[in-house]
Amino acid sequence: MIKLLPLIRHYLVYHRGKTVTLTICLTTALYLPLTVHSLVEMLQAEMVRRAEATPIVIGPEGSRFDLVLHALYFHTDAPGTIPRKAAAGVGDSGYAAAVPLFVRYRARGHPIVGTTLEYFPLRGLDIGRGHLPTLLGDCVVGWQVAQRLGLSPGDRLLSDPENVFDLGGAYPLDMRVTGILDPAHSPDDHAVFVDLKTAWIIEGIGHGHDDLDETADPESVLRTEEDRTVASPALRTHTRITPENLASFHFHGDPGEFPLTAILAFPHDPRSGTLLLGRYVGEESRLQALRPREVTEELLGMVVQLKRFFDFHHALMFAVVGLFVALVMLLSLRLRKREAETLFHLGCSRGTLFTLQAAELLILLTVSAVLAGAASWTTVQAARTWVQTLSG
Amino acid sequence: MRIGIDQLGFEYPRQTFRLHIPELSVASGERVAFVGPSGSGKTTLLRLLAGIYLPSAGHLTLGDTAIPELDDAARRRFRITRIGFVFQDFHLIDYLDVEENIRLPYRIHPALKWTSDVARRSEALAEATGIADKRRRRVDELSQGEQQRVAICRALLPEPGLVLADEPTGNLDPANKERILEILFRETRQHGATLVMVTHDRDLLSGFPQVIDFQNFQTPLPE
Repeated sequence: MIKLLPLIRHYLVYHRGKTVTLTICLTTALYLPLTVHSLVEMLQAEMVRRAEATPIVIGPEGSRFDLVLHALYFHTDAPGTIPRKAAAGVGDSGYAAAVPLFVRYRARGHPIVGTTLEYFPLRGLDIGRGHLPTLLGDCVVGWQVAQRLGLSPGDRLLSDPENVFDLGGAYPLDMRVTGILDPAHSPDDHAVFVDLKTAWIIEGIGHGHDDLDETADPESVLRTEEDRTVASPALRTHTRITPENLASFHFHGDPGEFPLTAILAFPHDPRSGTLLLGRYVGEESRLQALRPREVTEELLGMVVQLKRFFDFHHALMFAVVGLFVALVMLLSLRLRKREAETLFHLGCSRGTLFTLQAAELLILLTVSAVLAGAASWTTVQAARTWVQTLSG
Repeated sequence: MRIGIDQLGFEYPRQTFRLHIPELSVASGERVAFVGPSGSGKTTLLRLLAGIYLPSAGHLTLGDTAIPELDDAARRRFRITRIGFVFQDFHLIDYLDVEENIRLPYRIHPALKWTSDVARRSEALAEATGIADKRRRRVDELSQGEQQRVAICRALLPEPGLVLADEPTGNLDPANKERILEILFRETRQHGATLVMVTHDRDLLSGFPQVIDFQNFQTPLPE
């Protein structure tokens, strides 16, 4: 076999057009199923991992898939809101630790996750540099956000305006980056974390502005009544929270009714989890509680169905490529009849003649498999971040 | 290598005649030329001697070996190790360079081992036939005469006991004809090999002690 290798090399180089065409065909036929299989496997593993790390999700009624994708992957198109007191109700039940989430806005394309400090230890997130938020307007960013935007503790990050043409909409908030999270290889790497109150300020529920009684700008005051001062639209509203204006920030309304988009519940034990879920069963409940693992498996069921279709498609394509390669080899045998005759006349054995032809095909298959493997590995590595975050 | 033929018969497929050679004896180290018109069976006999064709009757021995009685694998092994065949149409592999074509028997059969001595001999043969400077060229880039010389080098390299040459000078100019004949004679003499050569060129026959005319070796088959 080794003695024959130079002959095979000469043949493949001499007929390089045929060699390259066959290699491309075989590489493509191997690359597609290999990559789809690897990506689906990775997607399944990542989704199950994230779902298993979140025992129960509570949120507004509606699509189960939307709620789980929102709570686990921070899709900012939240299915609705629930009152903050619902989170307090979970905590008060004694069944689970409740972590509220309010995720509606983005900063430079990354979701702003309003939550409490409990979120970080429950998700196993560590601060790599800096510290957790301590004041209103502080934020910590995921590792990928810091990498992509070149952020360090002390830098500023502006939330994205909701709608530049909507004067009554949410105004951007200039946030101070206090810390960078260590890599978690999860959607947390791509998120900006703030305290719930900071998220509500972006929502417009809370705000800070000049003190009307002390403002030097007369245009800021519309009129003064007996017991109150009415501000004019010219009153300067702060978009950056500083130690100087921190005290001017305040919220209007009942804090128990402030919105959340989801609650993550971490039951103390399996029985508590079951009892907690039971509280949300019934027509009178306007909330739904889900086990993300079950919803994720349902979602993956659809992915598997889709994969089956692709598998069939790839099998068909592989068969066609196989027939094409067989045809080319058959034609090649005919074209090489004289060469085979020469080798026979010289005294070459039938086994050697067969080995020569088979080794050529084997080398093409090996090279194609290596190329397909390398290309597939590269694709999977490139797609890994996307799969881990499902952020699109 | 001694050649012995007794009442050798060969029937061509779809033909109305057969080749019949009553008797032929060539001593070891002897030179013999086959002459005769085209289609008279000269090349066929060379192929019978090489074991490429099998006779339908009679006896054929090379040295002590009855070639038709060997099995296929043994015949191939005998051919590649003991016989050097210079084909009329060269039978070179067009995608290989000159060196690889000369080395081809050593690539395709485990019985032949490529050693430094064989490599030196290959260089010497290429030098002697005037193709040493073309060893890295592909054979389809060579002239007919040069291709013929590559075929001769390939046949002589394993130092065979029997060299069968089918019109080896057919494509050569007079100067090269003499050069090739000289090489064939020298190499076969040096190694005690028997040389059987088919030729149409009667000017070359002076170098052959034995000349076989194929004029009357074909007999019609009964209806």
